[in-house]
Amino acid sequence: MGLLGPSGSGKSSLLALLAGVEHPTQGHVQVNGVRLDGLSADALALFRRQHLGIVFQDFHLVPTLTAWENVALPLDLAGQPESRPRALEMLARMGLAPRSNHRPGELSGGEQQRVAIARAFISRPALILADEPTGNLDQDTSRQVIDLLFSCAAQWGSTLFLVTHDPQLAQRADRCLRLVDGQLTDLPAPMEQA
Amino acid sequence: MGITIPTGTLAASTARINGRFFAAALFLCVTLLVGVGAASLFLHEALTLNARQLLAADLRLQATLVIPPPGTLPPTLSTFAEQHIAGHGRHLSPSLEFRAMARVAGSERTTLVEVKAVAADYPLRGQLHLDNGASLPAVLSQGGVVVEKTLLSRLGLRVGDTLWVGDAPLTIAATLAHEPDRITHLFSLGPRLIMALQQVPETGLLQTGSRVTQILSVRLREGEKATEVAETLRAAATTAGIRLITPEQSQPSVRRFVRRFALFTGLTALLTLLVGGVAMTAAMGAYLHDSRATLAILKVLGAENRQIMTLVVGSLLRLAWPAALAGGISGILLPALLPPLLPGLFPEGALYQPSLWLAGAGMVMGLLFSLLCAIGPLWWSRSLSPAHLFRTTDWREALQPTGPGGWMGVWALLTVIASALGVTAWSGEAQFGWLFAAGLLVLILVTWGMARALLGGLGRLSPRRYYWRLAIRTLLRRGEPYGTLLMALGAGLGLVAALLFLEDALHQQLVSRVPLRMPSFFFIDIQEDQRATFQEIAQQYAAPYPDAIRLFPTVRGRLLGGVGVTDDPDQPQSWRKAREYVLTRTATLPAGNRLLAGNWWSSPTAQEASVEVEMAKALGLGVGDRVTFDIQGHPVSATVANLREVRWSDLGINFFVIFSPAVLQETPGVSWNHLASVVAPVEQEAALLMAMNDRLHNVTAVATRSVLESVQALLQQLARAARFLGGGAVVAGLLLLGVSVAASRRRRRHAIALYRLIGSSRAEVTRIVAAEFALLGLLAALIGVIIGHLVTALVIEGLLRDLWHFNPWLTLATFVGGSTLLFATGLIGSYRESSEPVMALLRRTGGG
Repeated sequence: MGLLGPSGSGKSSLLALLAGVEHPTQGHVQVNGVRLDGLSADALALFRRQHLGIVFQDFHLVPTLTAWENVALPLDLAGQPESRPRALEMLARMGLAPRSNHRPGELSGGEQQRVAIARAFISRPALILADEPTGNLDQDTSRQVIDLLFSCAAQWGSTLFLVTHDPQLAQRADRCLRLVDGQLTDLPAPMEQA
Repeated sequence: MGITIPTGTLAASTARINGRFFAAALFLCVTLLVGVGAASLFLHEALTLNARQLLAADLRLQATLVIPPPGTLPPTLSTFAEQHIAGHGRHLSPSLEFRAMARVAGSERTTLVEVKAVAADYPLRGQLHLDNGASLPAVLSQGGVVVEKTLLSRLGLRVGDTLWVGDAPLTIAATLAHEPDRITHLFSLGPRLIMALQQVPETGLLQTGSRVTQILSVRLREGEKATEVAETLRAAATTAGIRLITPEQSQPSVRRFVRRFALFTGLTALLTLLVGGVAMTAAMGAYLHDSRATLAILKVLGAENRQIMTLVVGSLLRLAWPAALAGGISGILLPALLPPLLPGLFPEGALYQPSLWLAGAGMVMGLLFSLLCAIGPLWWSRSLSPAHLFRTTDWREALQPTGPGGWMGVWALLTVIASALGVTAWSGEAQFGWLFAAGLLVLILVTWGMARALLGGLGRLSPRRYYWRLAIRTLLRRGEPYGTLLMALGAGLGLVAALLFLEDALHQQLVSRVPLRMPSFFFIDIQEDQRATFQEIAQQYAAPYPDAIRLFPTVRGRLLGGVGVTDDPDQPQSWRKAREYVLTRTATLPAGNRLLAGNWWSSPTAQEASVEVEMAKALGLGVGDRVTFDIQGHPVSATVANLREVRWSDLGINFFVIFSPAVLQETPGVSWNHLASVVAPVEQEAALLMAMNDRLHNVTAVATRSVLESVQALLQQLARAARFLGGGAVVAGLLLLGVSVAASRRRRRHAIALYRLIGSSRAEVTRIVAAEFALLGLLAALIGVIIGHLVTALVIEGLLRDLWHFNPWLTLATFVGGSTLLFATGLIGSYRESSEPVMALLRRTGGG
């Protein structure tokens, strides 16, 4: 699913609501059958850990950890075993096996975003929230990152919720929404537009 | 579910640096805490060693009773000794003190003497010196006696002559140069005569009905503490009517000094802990501030609060334990510096034995205290919302705690409670602990109020220079830590200033106020008709000092009772009732005395009494109560008009009870005599003594200078020790404040990067930063000086019950020194940022 909208239209607020890090002032939020409003902070944390993966424009990797440690973090938080081999395997899938022991400061922007994608998918979540994942990348790298996102979502059956400014990118999604002045409207599917 | 987040997760480069500040603050704090504690213990041991020489024993038991058969110890004390003290590796030495008439055979010359009959092992502690250099045991074993020089001149005798005491002829073998425990018996009625205990029966004086003071000097087993042994014996001793005297109690000025010294060292440790708390909280706040992005990321990845807490506490302990361990070790090594610094207090070769237990306790306390300091910032981290990670602009600035300053309040509250518990445990008095906590809470509120008021006032200013404007806006900006930092620095500097002011007050009290010279002699038993002659002689020889001659009319009396005075013999004050008081009357309040309650005499005809405050407390007396004394067989009553504090450190003549001039005016048959002290130049002392003996035969002169000078020397040594400890604490406190500033100024890195990015030169950036820290330093120093005086006034007036004095020069020095230190620390710390390439700086500030 793609979400388009101008700056200040509330795209990030919608993502924050879906991630359960902000609370709605009205109405309720339901993700994957779970109502988020009314859950405690720890229950929301558990929900994110089990159901969500998030990819940020600014990557938000922990600067003190190596690439594989960043990827293994969700597994570590969940107390799952074998986090290291699974993280290394995931990094290999992203084409980053040789860079697994590097820290974020030693990686390029594209590499950092691929580490962030690996971290988002490591728990095989049902929903991936991607907040302008190519906003800080050049065109070629952007294309590689988007290809990776879509292929991973397809491979592991995750729903990808992609926030972007780029209409062409949004049109790669099965369903495309536009958010303007807080109003969400469906855009015609690419086939319909054609 | 086990957590396996890598332990270095929080150690970002900036956080790592702030972690170092935290560790440095903790190291200093534990070092000082353990150092003060260990030094205080070591000093106390040295003091006890010195003080027990003033008692000639480790512990002294004393009972003034009417006793039976002459010879050995009367049953009361010997039975008590057998039941409660003997054995356990302790050594006991009995002695007797009584008054007798000494006379010369074939002559009418007689005089009252204070006889002290001692065993061969007297004194158990300290040294007794004879003028001819002989040893006391040798003299006594040959049947000789030792006398004060006054006795010779009074009876016209020389060394080698014989005098009679009762039925026994005694040969004067030597004169007394120094009697170590003379201080316990200053107000005697006659010159001292020391004889062997086994010679007492020969005198035939101790008949049934005789009044004698039995003394049992005790040398304790190695490692035993006199105060602890005394505590275990106190109840039984009180019941038996026996008074226990520990070395600290041997002299009021020493006893009071020990109490004040303990109070001062305790307060030093506590205030240091609080300054350390300010520094550690600042450093921990900065550490978590720099780790906030990582914490937000962990939260968005699904970390529960419990996991975050575990991670933060784990990181904290990883930082803290090496610092606490190093602090504990360096703390116990500190007192080793004391013997060379205070050679008079520590005998040559005094061995300091570091206590590993104390180091361990300091380390554990440091760890617990660092956890306490971290509770506020940890609480803040709970409310940290990761929602801002979705905002792509300025998310780092947005990641502020909800309710800024809220954690400071939580920390302040916890500190108050912890301090109260600490003080309670330390002083053993719950009321004192809670009073301290209440004072601290008031202090925090005052600091907060002053910080708010000063910042509010600052907001009204609009200086023309851009750097002052920018500095003011930075200090007032919401979300910046400067408001909290100003409060923390103000409070911290206030506590350091309080230490400085308190030490100055203690020093003034103990050293500056003691007389230039100790009294050479106390003269006892001057009759009313001898007063003029005495004054004539004294003026001839006295030193040209104010109060060189002090003269008081005195009578002796025993307390019969009064409102509030209980008759329960089990009460510890019973010895106060049993003892004989030297009473005086005077129209004006004597120098060195201060009224604490009530008023000086209501009228010239009032029958009133002024009572020393501690005696009043022990006896349950208050203003308006009546006291009755048996004076020469007459019951004499007076109303307590006031309670009075006595400055015992004067080491002069002081009284527990003073009557108004009208008391005893109308009582027939009561005769007053006079007690005087005279300060004379050393070379005139012998002439003064001779002149007194020639013209006033009955007057007893007690040579006090050497004894009082040894007490004064002891006090001066301890005042130096207090200055050493206080000075160390002030230096460490300033270092801790430096740590607070250094930790906080790293938060300014991002702003400095932006100034540089928009084209500010290095000099301009330096000017802006200098203006910020100049304002911060001046405001914090102003708060600090006010807080410092407030704490000092509270402690001096409330705890030490003394007068608080404003020292303008020290205040100015503290203000200038404090503001300069904060300014310099901030500016020097920012130098690197203002000279670093802009991109490198931006990259570092973006590191999360």
